[in-house]
Amino acid sequence: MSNKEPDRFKSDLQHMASGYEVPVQQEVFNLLMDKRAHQNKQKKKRAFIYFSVSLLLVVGSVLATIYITKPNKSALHSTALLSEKNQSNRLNSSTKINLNNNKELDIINGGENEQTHQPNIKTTKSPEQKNLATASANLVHTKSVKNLPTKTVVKSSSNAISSKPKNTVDIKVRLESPIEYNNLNKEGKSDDGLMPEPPTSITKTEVSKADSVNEEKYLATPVDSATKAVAKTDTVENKPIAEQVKWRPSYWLNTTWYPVSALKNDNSKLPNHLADSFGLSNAAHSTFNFSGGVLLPINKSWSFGLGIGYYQLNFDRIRITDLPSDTSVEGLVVSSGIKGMSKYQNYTSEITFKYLEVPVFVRWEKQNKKSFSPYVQTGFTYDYLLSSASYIFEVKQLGEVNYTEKENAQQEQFITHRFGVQAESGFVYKFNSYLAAQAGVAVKQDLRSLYLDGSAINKGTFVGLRVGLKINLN
Amino acid sequence: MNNRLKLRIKHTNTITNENELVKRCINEEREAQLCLFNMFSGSMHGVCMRYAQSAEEANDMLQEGFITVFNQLKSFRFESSLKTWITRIMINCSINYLRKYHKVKWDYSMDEAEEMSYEQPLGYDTAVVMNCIQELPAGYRIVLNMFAIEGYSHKEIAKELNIQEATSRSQYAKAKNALIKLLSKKGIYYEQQGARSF
Repeated sequence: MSNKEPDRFKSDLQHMASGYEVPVQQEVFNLLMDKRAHQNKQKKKRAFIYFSVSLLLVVGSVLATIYITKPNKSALHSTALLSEKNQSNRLNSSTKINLNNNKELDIINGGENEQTHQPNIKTTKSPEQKNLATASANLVHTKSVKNLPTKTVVKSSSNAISSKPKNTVDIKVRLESPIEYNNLNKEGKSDDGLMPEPPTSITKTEVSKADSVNEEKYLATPVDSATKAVAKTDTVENKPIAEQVKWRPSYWLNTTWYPVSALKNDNSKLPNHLADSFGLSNAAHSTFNFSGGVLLPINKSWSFGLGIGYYQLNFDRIRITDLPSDTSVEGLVVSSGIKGMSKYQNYTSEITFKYLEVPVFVRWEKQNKKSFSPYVQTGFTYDYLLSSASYIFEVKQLGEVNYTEKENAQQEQFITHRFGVQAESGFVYKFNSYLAAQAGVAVKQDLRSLYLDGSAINKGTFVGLRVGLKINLN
Repeated sequence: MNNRLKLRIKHTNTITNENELVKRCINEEREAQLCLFNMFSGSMHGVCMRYAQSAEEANDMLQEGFITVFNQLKSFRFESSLKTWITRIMINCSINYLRKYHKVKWDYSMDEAEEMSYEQPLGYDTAVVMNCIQELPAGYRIVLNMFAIEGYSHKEIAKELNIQEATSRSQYAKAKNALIKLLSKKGIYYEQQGARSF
């Protein structure tokens, strides 16, 4: 018989294999169950570690944010000093402080209620400054002193959102003439029968200056020393408020969705060994990435970012068994990095280095006054993917998988590195100073990809959609 | 008759019982898991032996395979028989194992191996044939098993292994020739016509 009948060779082998059984000892079952229990335990342990790290990052970010925003207390401090000065000079004053850092605070110290001997405090405040105003009000213990004819209105504004330089502090002081209504009778006359004198002194003085205030202007006003002290104190204490404006952490929430590999690699153009070593495949899949974090400014040029993300790969099919087609591998992406910003003309260039996820990219965003700001960014991508998916043991990457050193745990650990290039374009829509949304289209080319069950599954060029939300803490 | 044996008898024939066995395994009932293991371990060990280079490797493959089976049982959709499903898992685990520890290299030369003439055996010792298969290089062994024994087409093999279809054909032809040579050395196969069968 010859090889002209190749089926015979096959059927012979098939026949032989069909009845081929090798007895297995009971110990093997016990061993594998122990091994499985160990693997599951390790899996839970890793999940716990991931969760803990994530939680720590989030808590750390929040704490850092709180710490960064702490200088707001200087505003409180300023108010407190202001009140203390008022108290020490026993002014029956109406003090209006307008911290135009998107905060408005009016405090009217209307004097003491003579029956209850409680300070009459009226506060009007914007909602976001409720706490600040309340705190300020609590600090005010000014008692009413009659016949002190000064009403002082101090306006302080440090507007970082406007086009003015960040360090600019506008302090407006309005000093009004003595109006002591306590001395007026029902006819509106004073007890001595005379109408109250109109404010003959300088009634309004506005001072606008960056970083410091010309005290001479204050001194020129015919007010008592207490008022001058108030103005002076306010000026000094407002400096940190202005400086802190640039310390604005921002939060981002981003999601990227690559619906499906839009462009396939053409294996035929590559030598076979190269094609296989790169693991080219046509298996379609989609990826979903959701990330968020906080960007903490270090100085004017650099920021430090901490982020956390969720990464999901959805496969159209799994090469092993008949797992459902919607099988996915989930992973946690933790990212951190620094970002540099520089402004040139109307464009902002950013260079971002992230240890995990996306290490280097350059972004040009046109800064215009309109709500829509177009942007373009490009760079190298590097994904360092950790996964604790239930299908973890099926996911492998030839030559790229870093397995744990522990014996028998090699198929649980799934760490993969992916390199690629990415280009993205879109626009940022600014709702207001706090909130901006971003939408764009990203094209990503993976140079080295993840393998599933020994086969590459996401090698190729992908077109994705990115939407994001950015919140600036101001 | 102990419970394990009862369970084994109970679950061997009908799909309903197989269903119940799967459900109980999913519920992590040790007895059911042992029953399933006892039902299929012998034949699955045979599958692993065909892919492995040694009995120890086959044991490792079997362990990995059954761990996968128990972990993935909830995804079994009863679209095929349980045995077919488990066999596929074993095959995939075996291939993964070989890729990981043997650095499987494919011979990409496109030249079709010249097929050898041989005598068809009339009888053979399975264990000896198995030993010969185990002596083949990992790449040959995988393709030979998948094409000749599991019944995959070259197209399917190419897709599964992420290689070219022509590579699979070439690999199989070379594997076949290598196996015949090995068998002939053992006195089972003869390369030339007129040789005795085994």
